[in-house]
Amino acid sequence: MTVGEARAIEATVRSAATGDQVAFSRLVAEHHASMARVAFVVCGDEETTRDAVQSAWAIAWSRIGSLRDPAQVRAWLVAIAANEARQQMRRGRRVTVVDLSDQLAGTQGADADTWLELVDLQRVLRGLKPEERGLLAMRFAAGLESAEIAAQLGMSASGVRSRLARLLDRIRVDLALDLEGDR
Amino acid sequence: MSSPPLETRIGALISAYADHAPTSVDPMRMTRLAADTTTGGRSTVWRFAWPDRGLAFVLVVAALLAAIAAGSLALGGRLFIRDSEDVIRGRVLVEPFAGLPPVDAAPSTPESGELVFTFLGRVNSLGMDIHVMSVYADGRVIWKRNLEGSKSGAAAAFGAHEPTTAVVEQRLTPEGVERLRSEVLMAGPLSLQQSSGPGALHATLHVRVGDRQMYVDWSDSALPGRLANPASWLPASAWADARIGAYVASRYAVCVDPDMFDDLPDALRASINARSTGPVGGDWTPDSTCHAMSTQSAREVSAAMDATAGEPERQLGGLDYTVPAADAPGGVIHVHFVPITPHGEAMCVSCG
Repeated sequence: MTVGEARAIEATVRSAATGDQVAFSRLVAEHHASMARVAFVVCGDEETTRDAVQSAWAIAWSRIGSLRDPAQVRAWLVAIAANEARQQMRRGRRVTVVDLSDQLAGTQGADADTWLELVDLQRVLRGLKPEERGLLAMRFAAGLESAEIAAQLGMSASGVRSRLARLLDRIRVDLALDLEGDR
Repeated sequence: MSSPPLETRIGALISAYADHAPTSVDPMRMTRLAADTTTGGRSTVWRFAWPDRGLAFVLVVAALLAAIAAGSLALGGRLFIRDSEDVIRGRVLVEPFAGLPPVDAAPSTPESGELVFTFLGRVNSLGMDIHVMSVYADGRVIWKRNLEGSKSGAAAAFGAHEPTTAVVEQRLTPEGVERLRSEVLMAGPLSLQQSSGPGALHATLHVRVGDRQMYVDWSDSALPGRLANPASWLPASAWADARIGAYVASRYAVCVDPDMFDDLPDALRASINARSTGPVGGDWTPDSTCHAMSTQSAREVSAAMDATAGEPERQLGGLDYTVPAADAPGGVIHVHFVPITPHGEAMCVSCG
C-alpha cells in the first residue's frame, strides 16, 4: 500500500465515521464481496450470507467511529462479517442443510473434479465449528494475513498460524479419506 | 504441521468455494439500509467552532447536573444503584464461573419458573451489543450481554473465551415484575407473528399472555435500552435484590448433533443416555439435540468426557468438548454443556 493509498483510505474512513453516506458507500463497494465470501464459508447458504452481511454493514455503520486504525478497515469489516454469520446461524435456529447440487451448480458444468472436491470440502466444513470456519474464511476467502486476523481476534499471529495449521491438517485427513473411499 | 503446498491447495479450494457467495450489492442502497437500521444508535459527531465549545460545555454540564438532581429526587435520594455496568466492570456479587457451577454453589431457586417475557436483540444504545433477558413471575431477571463492541476487553477479567457478561441474575419484587410487564404490554400491539421494533437489530420481544407467547410490535426506539438496563429507571422499591450474581442452573443440557450422536465413543454415549432425563428444547445451536440432566449428572458426564476428549473450552456458564471420532465429518464431534433456564429451555451461553 502506498502512502497515497493509505491516506485515501484514512480519509474515507474518517468521513464515513462522521456520517458521510457517500464515503461509507465507497467502503461498501470495495469490501462487500470480501465480507460475503467470508460469511458464505462460515454459514454455507446464500440467504443467511445476505442477512449476515447486511447486519454486518449496519454494525459497521454504528461502530466505525471506534475504529482506531483506518488501515485495518478491511480486516475489521471481514471480522464483523464472520462474527455476524456465526450469530445468524445460531439466531436463525435453522438447520443449514444445503442442497449441494444447487449450491455448487455453477461449478459442475465447468469441471466435474472441482465440483466433487467442493462437495467434499463443504461436507468437511460442516464438521467444523463456526469459529473455525471463520478463521479459515478470513485467511483463504478474504486473503487476510495471520497478523491481521490476530489483531481482530485478540490472538497472537503465531497462535493464528498454529490454529490454521491444525485445521488444514484436519481437512487434509478428511479429504484424503474421501478420496480413498471413492476408489 | 501442514506444508506450504497443502496450504496453497486447500486455500485455493476454500477460495473457489467462496466464489459461490452472493456478492452483488448496490453500495448506496446498502449504506442507507445500514443507516436506517441503526437510527438512534449512532453517536453523532457534533462540531463546534472553538468560541462555541465553552458554551456547549457549560450547557452540557448544566444539563447533567439537572438530570442528576431530578434522578436523585425520583429515586428517593438514592443516586447510584448497581446495574449492568457492575458486571461489565467486574463488580459483581458472585463471580461468574467458567464451565459447570462450583460444587458448593447454591442453585437459583425455585428450580422452575413461569416466564413473563423475554427480550433478545442487538441494542443500538449499547453500541449494538447483544442483550438477552428473561423475566419470571417469581421476580427473577436472568440476563446476559455479549460485549462484542468497544467494551469487549472488559470481559477478559472473567477469563472468558467469549466476550460476554455471562448469565447473571437479579430479583424484582412482585411490583417490579408488574411494572416491567406493563412496560412491555403497553409498548405496542401484540401479535402471534414474529414482529419487532426500533432501537435494536434482530430483536424479538415476546410476552406471556395466558397460555400464549405473543410478540410485541413496539414503536419506542428507547424501549430496548430501557429493558436492557431496568436498574437505571425502576424505583428502588421494584427490587427485591438488585445485586447481580451468576445464574446457577439446577439442570444442564448436554447437546450433540443428532446425526453424530451414534458416532460418539460407546462409553460417552452410555454415560449421557444413563443420566438423561429426556430431551430439552431451546435456543441452542439449531443442529443439536439436547439431553437434560441434573447438574451433578452433568459433572459425571463431564468427567467421562475429560478422560476421552481432553480439556474442554470453558465458557462462562458452559463447556464445549471436541471429541475425536474417526467416522464423523471433520473427525470430531462437538459436545456442549449449557444451563437450562427456569422455564425449561437449553440456553446458548455464547450466542445471541
